[in-house]
Amino acid sequence: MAEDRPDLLQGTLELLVLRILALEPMHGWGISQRIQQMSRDTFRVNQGSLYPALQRMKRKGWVTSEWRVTENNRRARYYRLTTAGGKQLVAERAEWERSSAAVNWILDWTGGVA
Amino acid sequence: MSLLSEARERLRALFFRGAEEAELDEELRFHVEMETEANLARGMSVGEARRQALIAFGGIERFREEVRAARGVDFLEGPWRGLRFAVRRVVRDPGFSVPAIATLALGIGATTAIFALVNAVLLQPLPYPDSGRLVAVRHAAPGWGLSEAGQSDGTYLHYRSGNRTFEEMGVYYESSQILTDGDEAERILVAMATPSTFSLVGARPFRGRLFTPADTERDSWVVMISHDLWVRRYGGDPGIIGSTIEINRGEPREVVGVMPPGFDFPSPDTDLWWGMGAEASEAGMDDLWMSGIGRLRDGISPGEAEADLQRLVLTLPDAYPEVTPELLGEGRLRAVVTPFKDVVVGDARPALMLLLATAGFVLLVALANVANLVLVRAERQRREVAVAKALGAGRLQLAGRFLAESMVLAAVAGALGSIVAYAGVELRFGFGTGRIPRLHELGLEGAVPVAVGLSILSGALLAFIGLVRTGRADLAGTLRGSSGRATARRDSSYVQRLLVATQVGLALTLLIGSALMVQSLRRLQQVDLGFDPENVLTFETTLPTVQYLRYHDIVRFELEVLEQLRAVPGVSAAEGTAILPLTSARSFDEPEPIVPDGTPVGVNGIAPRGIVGSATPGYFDAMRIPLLDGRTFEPGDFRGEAPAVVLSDGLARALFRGEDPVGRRVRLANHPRKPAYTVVGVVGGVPGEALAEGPAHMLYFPVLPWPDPAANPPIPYFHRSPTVVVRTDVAPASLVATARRIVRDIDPKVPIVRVQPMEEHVRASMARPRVTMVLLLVAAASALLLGTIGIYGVLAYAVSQRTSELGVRLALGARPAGVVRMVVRQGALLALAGIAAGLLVAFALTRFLRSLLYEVNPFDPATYALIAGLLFAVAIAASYLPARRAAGIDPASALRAQ
Repeated sequence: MAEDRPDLLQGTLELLVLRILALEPMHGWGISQRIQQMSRDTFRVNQGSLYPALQRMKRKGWVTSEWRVTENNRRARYYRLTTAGGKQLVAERAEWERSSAAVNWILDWTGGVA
Repeated sequence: MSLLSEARERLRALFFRGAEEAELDEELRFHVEMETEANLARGMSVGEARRQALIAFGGIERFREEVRAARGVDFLEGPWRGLRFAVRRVVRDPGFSVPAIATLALGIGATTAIFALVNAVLLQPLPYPDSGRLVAVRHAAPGWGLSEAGQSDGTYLHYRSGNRTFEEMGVYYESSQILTDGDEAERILVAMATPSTFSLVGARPFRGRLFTPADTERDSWVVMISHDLWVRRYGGDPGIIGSTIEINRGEPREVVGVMPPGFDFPSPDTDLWWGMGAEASEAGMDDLWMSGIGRLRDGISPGEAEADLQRLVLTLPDAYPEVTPELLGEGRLRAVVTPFKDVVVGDARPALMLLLATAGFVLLVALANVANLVLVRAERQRREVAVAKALGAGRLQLAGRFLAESMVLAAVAGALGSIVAYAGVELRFGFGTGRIPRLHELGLEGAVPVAVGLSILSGALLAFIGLVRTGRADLAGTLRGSSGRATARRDSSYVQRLLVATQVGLALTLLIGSALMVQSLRRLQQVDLGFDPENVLTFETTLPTVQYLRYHDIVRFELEVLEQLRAVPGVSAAEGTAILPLTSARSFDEPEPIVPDGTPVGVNGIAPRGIVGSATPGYFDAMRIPLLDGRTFEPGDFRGEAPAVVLSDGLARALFRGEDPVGRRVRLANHPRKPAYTVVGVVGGVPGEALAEGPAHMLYFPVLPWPDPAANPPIPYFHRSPTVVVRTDVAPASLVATARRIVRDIDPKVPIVRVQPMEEHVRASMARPRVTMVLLLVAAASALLLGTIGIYGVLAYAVSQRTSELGVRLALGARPAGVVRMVVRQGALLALAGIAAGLLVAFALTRFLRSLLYEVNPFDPATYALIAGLLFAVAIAASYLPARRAAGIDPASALRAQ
C-alpha cells in the first residue's frame, strides 16, 4: 500500500529532483514517476511537496521551465537544470555523501574505537 | 544572478498572476491525467482511476493554495486576492465564524450604540456657535437652604452692567400658556427671554426677525414662534409674519419671526418666545428663580467669572438698599458659574457613564470569547500552518493571512454591529423624549469612527492571538502528528483558562450591578405611594387669564366640571387639585418657605419648604390619601381671619416637631403681608416630582365656592391649571371622551391636556430607572451567556484533547463518576477564580451605582452571595456536559484513535 511508503524529506527531494533533471528536462509527473521507479518503489513522491519544491527551485534559479509537447502530443511544463542548478547538485550531492557515510559508519560500528 | 532571477520570478508572479495561475492549473491537470492513465493501465475502471489520481493528489484546491503560498505571493499579490482567500476560509468554517461574528457584532454594536448616546449627550458641544464659552449663571444660598437658586431681575441687571468677564448675559424662564385663536385652544410652552439670550445662542430667524431690546422697552408684545408651531397650527403660511395671534384669550401678540426647525433653546419643545425686558427697583432676594445664561469673554474660565460675580454679589447692598450685608451673610449667597452643557446634561451623566462602562464590559467579554474561539481553532490550524511554513511561507505571509482573515471576520461583525447600533439609536434605547436631555441630537454619525475603530482593533487582536498561537508550529511538531495529542498543550490551555475566568469575572460584575438595579426598581415599585393610583383618570385644564382672572371664575369653572363628571355613570368621585403627585416638574411651583405664625421675619432661609397648592374637600378621599389628624376643608373655611389649610404630615412634623399641629397657624415666609392660616387637618404624604425622593412637603389651600366675583379670597395662591382626578368603577381610559366633551361643552376655549390614568404617571416616573435596569440586565444576560459558552467550550475542548488519556484512565479502571468529578472540578476551579476576581471588581465599581440606587446598599452581601452562587451553579452545569462526554469515552476506540 502506498501509505506504507515513507515520504521524502524536503532536502532529499530537492537533491533527487536535481539529479533527475541532470539527465534530461522533465515534467512534474515524469519526475515523480522517475523517482518512484528508480527508488524501486521505496519512495512515493507526494505531489503536495513536489510542485511547491519545483516552484521554490525555480525561484532560486536552479531550474527553468518551458511548455513543450510530450511524445503523446500533450502540452506539459518541462523543467530544465540551469548552470546554478548543476553547481547546486554537485554541492548537495557531496553533502549527502558526507553525511550518509557518517550515518553508515555509525550503523556499522560494532564497538571499540577505530 | 540568482537574486535577480528570484526577483524577476516574484514580479512575474505578481503581475502575471492570471497567466501563472492558468499555467499551474494546466500543469496540475496534466499530472492528474497522466496519473489517471497510469491507473487505467493498472486495470482500474475509469472512475476509480480518476478518483485514485485525485486522492493521490490530495485535493486540488488545498494544494493550489499551498503552491501559491510557496510561490510567496499570497500576501504580496495584493489585498484583493488575499481577501478572497480569507473570505473563502471564513465561509468554509461556519462552526468558528458564526459564533465569533455574532459575539463580536454584539459587543461592537452595543458599545457603538451606547457611545453614540454618550457622544450626543455628554461629548458633543451644544449646537450653538462657540458654545464652549456659554455658561449658566446661578446662585447658591446654603444659609437659606438653597443649594441651587436662579436669578432675579435685580441680580441680572446688576451683574450685566457691572461684570468684567462676560461678553453678554441673559435671563429666561419657561411657562405654559394657551393659544386661543382659531377654533381649538391649545396649550403651548412659552419661553420668556431677554433679547440678549438670542444673540448668546446665535439664533437666526427662519422667517421675519428676532425681537430687539426696543421691542421689550416699549410695550409692543411681540413674539416669535417655532417652526413646528408654524407648520402645525398655521399651515406654514408665510403671511404669519406681522399677523396677530391670541394668547390666553384676549391677549393679542404680533408674530415678528419664525425660528428655524430644530431650534432647541431653551428646550426642544418650546413653541413660542416672548420678549422680556428686565427692570428692577429691588434685588429680589425672594425671587431667585429665573435661569441665567452668559457668554464668557475669550480666555476667561468659569472660575474667574464666578470670582468676578462674587465681587458683584458683595456690592448688591450698594445697588439695592433693602439688601443688607447681614442678609447676604445669613444666606451665604454666592454666584455659581457652570458650563452651560453641564446644566443641560444634568443628572443623566451617571446613568450614561454606567451604560458606557456596561457596554465596554460586554465588549471585553465578547473579545475574550472570540479570543478563545481563535485559540481553539489555532490548535486545529497548527498542521496547516506547519505545512505552509515548510513550503516556504514566511512570517510576513502568515501574518498577512491571519490578518486578512481576522479583518474579514471583524468587518462582517462590525457591519452587523452597526446594524445593532443603528437599531438602538433609532429606538432611542427605549428612553422616552424628555427622560434624557439632548436625545433629539442623537445620531450615529459621531459613533461611526468608534465602530470602525473597534472592528479594526478586534481584528488586529484576533490576528495577533492566532499568529502567536500557531507561530511556533513547525514541521517537526506536525510530523509528530497524532502523538502530540496525548499531552494537552499546557501553555495554550492556560491562556484559555485565564480568558474564561476573566469572562466569568466580568459577567459576575454585570450581574451584581443589574441585580442591584432590579432590587432598586422593586423597592421603588413597592414604595408606599401614599395614595391609590388604580382606577383614577386625571387630566389638566388651563384657564385663559382674561375670562378667568379671579378666584370666583376659576373655581366656578372647576366645580362645574366636577359636578358634571360626578353625574357620569361609573364615576365614584371627581375632585380637583393643583398638586398632583408624580407629574412632571413644570406643574409645580418652587417650594415656598413656610413658618409657624409668630416666627420673626428674616429667618425664612432655614424654614422648611413645601409645595403650595390646592385641593377640593373630597380630593384626599378620592385619592385615598389618609386623613391623619383634624379634618379636611369645609364650606366657610375662607371665613374668619385665618383661612384653613391642610398640611402633609411631613411638613406638619417639620413645623411643629411633634406638637399637635391642628389649630396652629402658619405663614408663607415670602408673603409677610398675607394673613396667617389655620391648620385644620394633616394628611399622609405623597411624592412630588420623583418617587425616589419620598413624600414631599405639601400645603393645601381649599378649593371652595367663592361668592365675590370682584375680590379674591385671602389666600396668596390659586392656580389656572386645575388638575381633575376622577375615581372610577370602570376602566379609567373609557371615560376620556366623556371628560373631553364635558370640558368642551362648558367652555370650548379651555384646552384639556395630559388625559391619562394615574397609573400612567406612576409608571412614567419610573421610566428612567426601568430603562437603565433593562439595558443593564440585557448586558448582564449576554455576558452570562458568553461566559457559560466560554466555560463549556474550554472544557469540551480539553476533553477532546485528552480523549486518549481519559481512555487510558478508563481502561485502567477509573470509574466514570470519578472522571465526571475531575472535569467538573476543573470547571469549578475556573468559575471560582473568575468569581473571586469578579467580586473584587464589583466591590470596587458598584459604588458608582450609588446615585442610581434607591434604598439599596451597593455592597449588599446577600446580593453578592446570591449572584456568586448562581454563577457558580451555571458554571457547574456548563462543565457537566463535557464531563459526561468524558465519562462516556469508549476506551478501545479512544486508544485506536491514537
